[in-house]
Amino acid sequence: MNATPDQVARPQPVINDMNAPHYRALAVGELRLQRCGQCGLVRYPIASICPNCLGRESVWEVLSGRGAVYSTGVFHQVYNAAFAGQVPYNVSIVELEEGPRLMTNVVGVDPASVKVGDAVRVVFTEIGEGTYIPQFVPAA
Amino acid sequence: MTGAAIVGIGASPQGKLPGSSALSLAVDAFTAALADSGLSKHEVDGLLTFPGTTSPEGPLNYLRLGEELGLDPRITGSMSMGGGTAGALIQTAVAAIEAGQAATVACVFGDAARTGGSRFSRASGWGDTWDLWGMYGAAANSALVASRHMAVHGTTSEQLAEVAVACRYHASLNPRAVMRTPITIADHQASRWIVEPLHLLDCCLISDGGVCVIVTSLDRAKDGPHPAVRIAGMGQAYTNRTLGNPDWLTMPHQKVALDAAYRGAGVGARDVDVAQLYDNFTISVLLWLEHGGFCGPGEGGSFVEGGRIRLGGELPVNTGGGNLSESYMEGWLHVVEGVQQIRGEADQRQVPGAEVCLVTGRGMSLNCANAMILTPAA
Repeated sequence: MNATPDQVARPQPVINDMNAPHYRALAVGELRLQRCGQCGLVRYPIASICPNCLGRESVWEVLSGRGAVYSTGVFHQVYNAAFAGQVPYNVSIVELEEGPRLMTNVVGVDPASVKVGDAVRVVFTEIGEGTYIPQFVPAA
Repeated sequence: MTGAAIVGIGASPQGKLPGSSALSLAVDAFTAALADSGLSKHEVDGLLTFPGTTSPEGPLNYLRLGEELGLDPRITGSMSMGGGTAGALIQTAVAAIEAGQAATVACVFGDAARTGGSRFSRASGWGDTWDLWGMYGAAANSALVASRHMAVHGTTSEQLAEVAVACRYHASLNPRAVMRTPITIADHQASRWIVEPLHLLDCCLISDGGVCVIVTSLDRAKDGPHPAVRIAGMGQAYTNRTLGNPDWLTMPHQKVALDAAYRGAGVGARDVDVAQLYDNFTISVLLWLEHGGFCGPGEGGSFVEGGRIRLGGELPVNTGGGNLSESYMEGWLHVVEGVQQIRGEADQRQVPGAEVCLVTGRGMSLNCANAMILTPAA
């Protein structure tokens, strides 16, 4: 028997000095990513330096949370027992209006109904005590 | 044109090999390739290795294997680029030979991935690893490539099935292959979802095995027992970005690697007689065909229809069965099959008169791409 979801904890983010502002923002309902103080690029993944201009300064900007599905798939295979109770579940890349692309889930709908190009908006999902991740739902 | 040629190829048994280890499989492959080359061990003065996924010594694999084989090379080292490693090591060997740093270089890989507890299913991403969203494994990356390709270009799952069916047919003719029972498009469609839109039969195997390729200078290559195979052109290109690269899923770095290989060899797509295209998942073959100029962007799906990439078709692809059906040697057997085609030693799988073979590799999360053109040395 596979372990049930209750027996295997869902993976949690490793929060450190660099990414803490992102996770603190998620907990209060804001999607914040770094905007480079030198070239203005909004970057993701979270990084110590701008991958475009190598600028060191950045600000944690509140983003719109609006975007579109860039690509999408449905997991049927269980790779981690923590997700055994969730298959089939959606995994998508969402392109935010501000440019960055996030690996995420589109939730609240049939996972196979999600299409490339769908307009989506962010929701904040608590996956551990006080720990939230960004997921997306169809934009109403 | 490079001044180097492949003079030895060797493979261990392939498949599910309880009791084997990454080291034992690498040793078996090396001794087989050395025998194939007709060289003595003391003529091998370069050793380049891929630790694979189950070598306990990891990046120090070159030390471990060198000790086991009793080699004192002039140049050595290990690289880990997943399915891009075979091509990267062979191209490094060519560069070392051309620079006079070594005369003859053995490139070696062994991995007990099937029985040795390999973890291909781990999540990618460094900081916020993608397991936060349940995004695991290699299939999912390619599922997202396929999903986007389908949405933008109208590619269908039945077209992806054509790749799987062709590879399996070729494997049915290959005594080295692990999966030799032919399949149909209907079999592909009926196989279970892994990560939609990819079915089980869109996915490569997981295999135990080892492969070795021995490279030397063109001058030295003349004396071997088999026809030498020139590495006429070669190219590599990388992206170290995934989500941060706007073109990540379309992998334009593949085209950079292919163009360099074509340019070096002085050939183009129309000159290619047979191609060994890295097939971790079926969708990858479509991208290689598009980037390689065999069809236009987005046209890979229609290109593979109707048996065009099967033996006897316009462009036979993965004539040994590929990662999908021969064995998952992370592209190393693509090189071996390419060499056999150019030698004219591919038996039932032989493409008549094959003189130009394209071999490609790609590894990690779509990051590391390379290409080589193989031609007769004489």
